[in-house]
Amino acid sequence: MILYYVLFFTLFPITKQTELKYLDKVGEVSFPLDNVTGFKAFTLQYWEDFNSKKKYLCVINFPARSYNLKFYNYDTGILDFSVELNTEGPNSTGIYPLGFHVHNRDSIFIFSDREGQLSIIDQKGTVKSKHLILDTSGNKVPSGFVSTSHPMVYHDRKIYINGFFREDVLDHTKVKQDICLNLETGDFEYIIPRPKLYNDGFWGSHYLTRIYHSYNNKEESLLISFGADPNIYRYTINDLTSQAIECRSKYLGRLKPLGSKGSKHAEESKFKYEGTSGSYGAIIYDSYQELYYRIVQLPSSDSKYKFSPKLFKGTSLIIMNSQFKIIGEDLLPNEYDPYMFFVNEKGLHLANKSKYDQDEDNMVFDIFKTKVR
Amino acid sequence: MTRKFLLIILSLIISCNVKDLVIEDSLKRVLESIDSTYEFDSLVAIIIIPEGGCAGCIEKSMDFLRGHNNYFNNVLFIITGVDDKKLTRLRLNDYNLFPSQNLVIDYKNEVTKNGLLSIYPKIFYLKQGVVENIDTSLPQNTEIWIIFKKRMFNRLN
Repeated sequence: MILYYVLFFTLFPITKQTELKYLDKVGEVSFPLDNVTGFKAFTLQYWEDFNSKKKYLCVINFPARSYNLKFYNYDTGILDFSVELNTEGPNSTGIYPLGFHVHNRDSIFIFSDREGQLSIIDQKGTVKSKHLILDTSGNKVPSGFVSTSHPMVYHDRKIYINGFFREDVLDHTKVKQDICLNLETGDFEYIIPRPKLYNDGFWGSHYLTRIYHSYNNKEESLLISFGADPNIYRYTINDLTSQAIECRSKYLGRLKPLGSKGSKHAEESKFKYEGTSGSYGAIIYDSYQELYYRIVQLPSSDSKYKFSPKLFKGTSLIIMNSQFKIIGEDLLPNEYDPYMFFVNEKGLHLANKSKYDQDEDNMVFDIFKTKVR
Repeated sequence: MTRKFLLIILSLIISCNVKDLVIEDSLKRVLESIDSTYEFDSLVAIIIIPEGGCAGCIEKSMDFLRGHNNYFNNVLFIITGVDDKKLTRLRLNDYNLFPSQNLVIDYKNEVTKNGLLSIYPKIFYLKQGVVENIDTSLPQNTEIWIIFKKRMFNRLN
């Protein structure tokens, strides 16, 4: 089975320059790139080290000659240290170790989606333990996937990982698409059922089938977004009780499946379907401003559609307050990469690709705060 | 009735030619826009390899290119769908593909602009400026590079 990974990392929006109504650019921050590192960061995480009081932007870039988890000092912008990730030998973190979550310097979670391997390493890169998140029963189950849009969540000695699921099954509501690994026992279970709408037909193989989660550490809840669903879901993490909340984009029409369930389609027509449908993307919890953001990938018009590295017409951002009331939705200008973001006390950071194109030695993030609360 | 039939046949022939011309015009425009020393009419094949798409198909195409850099005359490889120029340069340097007389990088994404980008690498076989045949490197089409090499030997030798 051919995997279409490469395209995932090269998709950039092509919106026209637009004026932001709800977001205010309040600054920028820059991090140097060495001469073998490109723009695309597969996973990004803002992390505060409570021991040293230092604030870090942690990054794994892709593709890479070697895999390194870089720790940039957020305040100075300088690379403080990096952890080399081994892909062979006793300290191997698996093939393509691109997903991570930094809990502390002695517990860094590295995920290889190719192998379904979760490794816990320290800051020297020494593997302390490994878990295989692979179902060998032959059942059709999701496989784990970690990136900035699909972050790992740590809560109470458990790790939560988004699952990819593109299989054709009789009843999608019986498929649970998030994976919860108990770090003490090593057991894992599938949680968060897919919404009923996935029973309406075949939704392609990529963006519309995805699940995204974000963790609200204050109320201990998981916020869930599905690619095809205008609703988001708030799950209490301890008992998994849920609440559906409408969070519909004004720029997306009613999403429809590509065909009937079980129908077969050529890969190029699947890409066309993805590009001309649009989809909902990552959900982000901003604990500093008490806001939620939902990324929306906007459709290209059918008549103008031509396959391009820029699959979507553009990106918008839905902004919700702490009561999940939509404050507004902004079209993002084309220079921003909707898959490279993080939040901290200064605001929402979006990576600026145009600035990188002008200066390949730096990765620049523009910082935004909301104008309206 | 016969006249109508002939008109339909004629319009079909014209429409087929127009379609071919569109591809050739697109290829010519791409060639003119990127830095190529080749004359379109002198080329026997243009191979377009996207940076993103069917990963396995692209990998096989790149393997073929690595093994046949500066190997054929009048064959042009175009790397396109470039998102990150720095990374593309690094990757091709890693593959020891520079200097190359038959490789160009479509930094401005002229292939996309001219509607020729696909998720699959494609071989456009040419004869005196006319596209004779198009082969696509599909996952199941594993013989494509052997066939290409044979065709080039038959044509060039």
